[in-house]
This record gives sequence, C-alpha cells and structure tokens, in this order.
Amino acid sequence: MQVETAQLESRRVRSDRVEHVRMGEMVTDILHELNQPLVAIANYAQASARLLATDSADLTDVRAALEQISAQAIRAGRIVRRLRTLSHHRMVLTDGEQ
Amino acid sequence: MTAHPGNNQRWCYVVDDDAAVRDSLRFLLKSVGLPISPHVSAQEFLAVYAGEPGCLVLDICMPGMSGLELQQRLNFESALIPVVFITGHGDVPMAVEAMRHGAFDFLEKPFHDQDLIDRVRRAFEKMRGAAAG
Repeated sequence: MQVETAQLESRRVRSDRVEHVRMGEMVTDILHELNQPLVAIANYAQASARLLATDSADLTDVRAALEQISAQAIRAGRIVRRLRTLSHHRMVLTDGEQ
Repeated sequence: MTAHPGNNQRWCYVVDDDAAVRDSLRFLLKSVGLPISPHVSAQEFLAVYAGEPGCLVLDICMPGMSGLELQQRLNFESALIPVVFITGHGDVPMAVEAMRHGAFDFLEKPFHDQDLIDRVRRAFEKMRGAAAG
C-alpha cells in the first residue's frame, strides 16, 4: 500500500514538472508574440515623429501610421488577455492540487 | 508586394515573418530616405536576391528557415551583404552565435529608430568599402 502511494506521489511530481515546463514554453511563445506589436508601435511612432519634424511631412502617411499604432495596441491587448487566461488557468490547477 | 532593386541602387532588405513589423520597418526606413525591399521569409528573399549591394535586416527567429540558417546559406554562397539581426528578448545566445558567424551587428527588439538607422548606414558603408576593395 505504501509502495503504491509512493509511486502515485512520484508520478504526480513528474506530471507537475511536465506541466510546469509546458506552461513555461507557452508563456515564452506568448511573450515573443507580444513583442511584435510593440516593435511595430515603436517604429511607426518614431518614424511619424521624424516625418512631422520636417516641413514636407505627408499627413496621409502619418495618419496611416497612427491607425497602425492603434491596431497594433489592440493586437497587444488581445495577447495580454490570452496570457491572463493562461495564468488564471494555472492558478485554478494549483488550487485544485491542494 | 516585393520591390526588387535595380543594379545601381543600394537597398535595405528586410526579412521578418510578422507583417506589422515588416511594414513598420518599411515606414521607418522610408522616412529617412532609405529604399527597402521587404520579404516575408528567408526562402522568399533567397528566391529574388542575386548578390546586389546593400544591407540585410534579418529577424533571427522565423518559422521555416531561421535567420541563422539564412546567414549560413549566404556565407556558403560567399555573399558580401552585411547582416543586421533583430532579435527578441530570449534570443541573445542566438545573436551571439550570429556574431560568431560574421553578422555585422544585432539589435534587441524593440529598438530606438536611430540605432537601426545608424547600423544600416554603417553597413552600407562597409559594403561600399568591400566592393571597392
């Protein structure tokens, strides 16, 4: 009986470890994905500032960049929501184990 | 989508799988008058690139052929084009690997526009020097 309990316990620890690694990989992927819209926002904003500093700025270009900044911020927000769902899921799992 | 340079123009080739990153780089480099040729993948770039002078801004982590694999392929073909890698936060060991294989420089995403522009201009200078020498 005690041997069985020990086996069950070691199986549980192993599966916990696998779950941790899997979760870590998912978080890394999501963070990598989150970086993309941030890069785009920084590029569009910096280029817009450059264009506006000249006398011959084409406002149509700047306006298009502003629309892209807004779209990319919304994209980043969606990714953050996914990350939040994942962290909530993890907390539920941890609570369940106690 | 792919603009392809003539023989006398120096182009900044950009290879990144993310459409927004690609388009924002096009917008940024265009704002300082640098002509750019954007590409969605390493394979797509290889299909059109024939050794023209310029600079390659290359994402390190891409599905299919990675930036590192593309660099090794260009090295194998003795291409002279300087490569500026753009990397995510976790990719620093890969960036070190890229430098070991002769990358011109690397930048961690997100970066300051001036840092990228300076590196692209220095890469152009380097290629001009290599072509002259």
